[in-house]
Amino acid sequence: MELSKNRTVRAVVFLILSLYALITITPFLWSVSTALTKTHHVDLLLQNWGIPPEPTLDNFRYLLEHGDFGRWFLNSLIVTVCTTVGKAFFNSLAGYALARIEFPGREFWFWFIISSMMIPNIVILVPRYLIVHHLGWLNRYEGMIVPSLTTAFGVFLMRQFFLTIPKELEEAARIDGLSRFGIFWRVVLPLSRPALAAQVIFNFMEEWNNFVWPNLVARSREMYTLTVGLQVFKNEHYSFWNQVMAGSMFLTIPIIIVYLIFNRWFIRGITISGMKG
Amino acid sequence: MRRKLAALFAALVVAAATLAGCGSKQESGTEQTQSQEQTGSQSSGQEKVTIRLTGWASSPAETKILETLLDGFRAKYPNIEVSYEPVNADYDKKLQADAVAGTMADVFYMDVLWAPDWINKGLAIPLDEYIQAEGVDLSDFEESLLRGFQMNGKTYGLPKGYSTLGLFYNVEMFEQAGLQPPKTWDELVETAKALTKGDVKGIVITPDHARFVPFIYMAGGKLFNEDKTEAYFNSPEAVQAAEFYVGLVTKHKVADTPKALGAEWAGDAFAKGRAAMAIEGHWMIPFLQEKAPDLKYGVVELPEGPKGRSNFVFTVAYAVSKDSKHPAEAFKLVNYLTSEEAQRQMIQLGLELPSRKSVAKDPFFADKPDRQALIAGVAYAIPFQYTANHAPYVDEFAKALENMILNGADPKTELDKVQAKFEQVIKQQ
Amino acid sequence: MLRRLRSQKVQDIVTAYVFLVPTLMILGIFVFAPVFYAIYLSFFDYDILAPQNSRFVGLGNYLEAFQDPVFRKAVKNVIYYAAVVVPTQMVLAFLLALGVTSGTRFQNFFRVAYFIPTVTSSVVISHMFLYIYSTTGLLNHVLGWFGIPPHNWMEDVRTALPAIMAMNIWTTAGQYMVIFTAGLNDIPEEYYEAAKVDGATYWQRLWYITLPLLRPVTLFVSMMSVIGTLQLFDQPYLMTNGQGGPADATMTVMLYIYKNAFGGYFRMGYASALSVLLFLLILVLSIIQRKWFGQEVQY
Repeated sequence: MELSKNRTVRAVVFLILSLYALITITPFLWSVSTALTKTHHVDLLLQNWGIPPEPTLDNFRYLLEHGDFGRWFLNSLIVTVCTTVGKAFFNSLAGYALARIEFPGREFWFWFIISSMMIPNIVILVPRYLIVHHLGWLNRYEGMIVPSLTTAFGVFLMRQFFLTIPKELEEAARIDGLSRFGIFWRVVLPLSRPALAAQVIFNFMEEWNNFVWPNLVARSREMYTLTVGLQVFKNEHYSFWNQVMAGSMFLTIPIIIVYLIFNRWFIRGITISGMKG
Repeated sequence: MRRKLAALFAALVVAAATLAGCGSKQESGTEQTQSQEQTGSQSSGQEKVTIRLTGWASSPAETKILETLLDGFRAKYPNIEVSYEPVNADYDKKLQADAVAGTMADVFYMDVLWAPDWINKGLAIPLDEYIQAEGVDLSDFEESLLRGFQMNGKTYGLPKGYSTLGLFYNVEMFEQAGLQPPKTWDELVETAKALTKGDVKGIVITPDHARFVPFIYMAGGKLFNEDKTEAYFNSPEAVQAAEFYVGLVTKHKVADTPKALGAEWAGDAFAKGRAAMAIEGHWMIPFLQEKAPDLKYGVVELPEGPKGRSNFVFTVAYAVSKDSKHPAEAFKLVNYLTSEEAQRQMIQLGLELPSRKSVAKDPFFADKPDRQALIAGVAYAIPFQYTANHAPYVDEFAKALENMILNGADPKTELDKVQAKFEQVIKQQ
Repeated sequence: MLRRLRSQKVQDIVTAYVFLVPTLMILGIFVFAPVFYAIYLSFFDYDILAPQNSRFVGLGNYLEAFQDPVFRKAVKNVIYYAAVVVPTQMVLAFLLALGVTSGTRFQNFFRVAYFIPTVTSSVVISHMFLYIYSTTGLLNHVLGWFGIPPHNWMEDVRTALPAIMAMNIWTTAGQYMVIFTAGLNDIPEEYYEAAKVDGATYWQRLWYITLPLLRPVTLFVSMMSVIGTLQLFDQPYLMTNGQGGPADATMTVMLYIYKNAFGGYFRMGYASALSVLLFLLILVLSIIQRKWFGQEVQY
């Protein structure tokens, strides 16, 4: 909805928005500048308006030399990309069945899946760990990826989106002789790019920042993900602020990039799925 | 259709139940699968066994020197391979998860605080027969360290190193004020008073039982009876100690907590020059070297209380796990890593004090009065240890200290709560 | 004909289950099986490290929970927390969404700026705020300009939880803003145009068009927000060294469950019982919310 054309009103709104942006961005900028500061200068930052007295890339260099950040970054990437893609696919499959196919038990399964959103994660941690152990997946990518290949939230989101796609499109495809999967794959999914983008952002964020689970499953140093590695690094190095912040940049920047890429799709994605209920 | 659906659901439930069942069976330890993936390096030669070692490393330098030691071990025992798997985040949690799954490493770090629980629950095995077989002379280990890993007359771990608490003081501030480091409680108050000026407090006080408990002993009290079935958290001596410790902040106003001083922990506040004194351990030394290389500091023994001296000793042992298939070989590693020659290499790093008396006499320490002050404390220190199942009442203890220091709550009332919690927990056992 | 219809139907059913099976299997194995196991454990005094000592206690764990002062304090804390945080962050998120869809300048920049706290890892944020809240930190620095004396925010039982609330509102408002933004974009511009023609003011349009049409989104956001706040864990864990201090002021139900399960209490059964209770609390509140928004939500 357009604001009034009144210039004063617009100016005031703009001012308020800018002020709030200041509040959200300052801490982030602060962490960037801390990452560029030398250890013995950290306590001086405040007096210096957050500008490092002698900006330096030493912290990043130190991280690359002393941690296995390259390897950890790669692990995070493998795990996050696999789960993000897998989630997008499996959630869509399930969401499609729940939205478009008539079959007995549909309601039941829908609620069955939804109810898993309310379960406190901690309670299932140990049994889940035991199951993964039984499958022989400890310290392996499978153990980090497979348990999070679907989410109730994602199924829900995709189902809502599919409900908004006109049925006629599918009917036409069916008359052309496409199978159900063919319709899903060739007709429905291409139309769902916005909803998929929304999923990609949410899931990427969630997996990329996930700590508790990879910390249990990854045992050896070369299997750590970035979050685990960063925590390990902190414990090994007295957690000097500047280094911790530099390390956290490895975590934050990829997400911002993903957000920037998918943002446009994303806003539309939710729009169309409409959160209709 | 209905029936089919019901059948499917039933199948799922059965599958779930089976999985859960497998889980519980696994836990009860009737089947112990040895982890395959990490130990996979089976050479085709004669039986070469692999020993897995886990612990945490406080710095890359420590990891490096440990690797050097391990190379020495491999050279000495060519038929034993060692794989080192450090865990640096949530070590306790990971170890417990391993214990449940039956995949504990053969040799692991056991913190003295957790030793009663872990020994009680059978995570560590008694080492006596191996100690005898290898001819280890236990009398060379500091007695107060070893005691933390002995239960019912059996030894469950050999301590690798330790630290006691010391009083760290800022030399410059003391020189400016023309003061000597305090030797008694009264002197501590007086000195702190003289040093409290503007932004700077005389001493930084952590609301933490790990710093406070020695004061109870200095006041003539104690925490437990001999077999730890009774506790005396609210004894008159404990109340007196609390009044003194807390009083530094609330009554005399010569101290503050690290957070109040804008620091994360006491060492940080000390390094920032916000407090003239701090009660910390050996870990301060490398920390100060990096964080405040120009700060001149000294370390003395904790001041003497009305009924004498006391101290806490923090230590970690190498222990052999219940899941080890080769305990004899595993103990060879424990023995090697705690040996005199290994410790002589380890001390060069300056991360902790050696657990062997013979190594403590090493010339390395001769010109280091700060470390000597910490070594002196071990003679009369008690292990930083409570009982099995200590966490619930020790948490209550931590809360009590927070309440006293931050809210000015009454020490007796607060310590009564700790005592009550202890009794409740012990009754539950 | 009939037969064909029937076979069509059977085929549909088969397809539906084929589509659903991956999801159901993964949820079944990694979510529901553990849940059943947890419910089962909640009737036992169970120590995962010494399972041989476990013992059936019936409803004992549940009865103990109702008597447990720490658990009661934790429940009180999360309800207080949710009661403040949910409405505040929703209003804030809604206002921000109005702002970034109002056609103001640099709209896209604001969208990214407001989202930044959401994407920053909670480890980083918690440490940053510890610094901001410390006695010599940023907040006291700023308050000092107005002559307000410094305060030790995280070590005062009265301000520790509100401090975490403020932080959480700041962190999550951006995420909900995005969802509201999407909802606002979904409202056809023609509705507003028509209202304008009828002479409705900005506020009238907001009240009679935007808010009613946004209801489903609002319900969705409020449900997510309540689930999120009741399961609060990361921030108090990271900001209080896992203690929930000072003196339980920031103890949450999840944190207490964690302590019982992994924090050295060795009480898996009790932790499971507390989890079941937390689940029930979330369920009840979710149902109340649906009633309260009082509308046929079409699932």
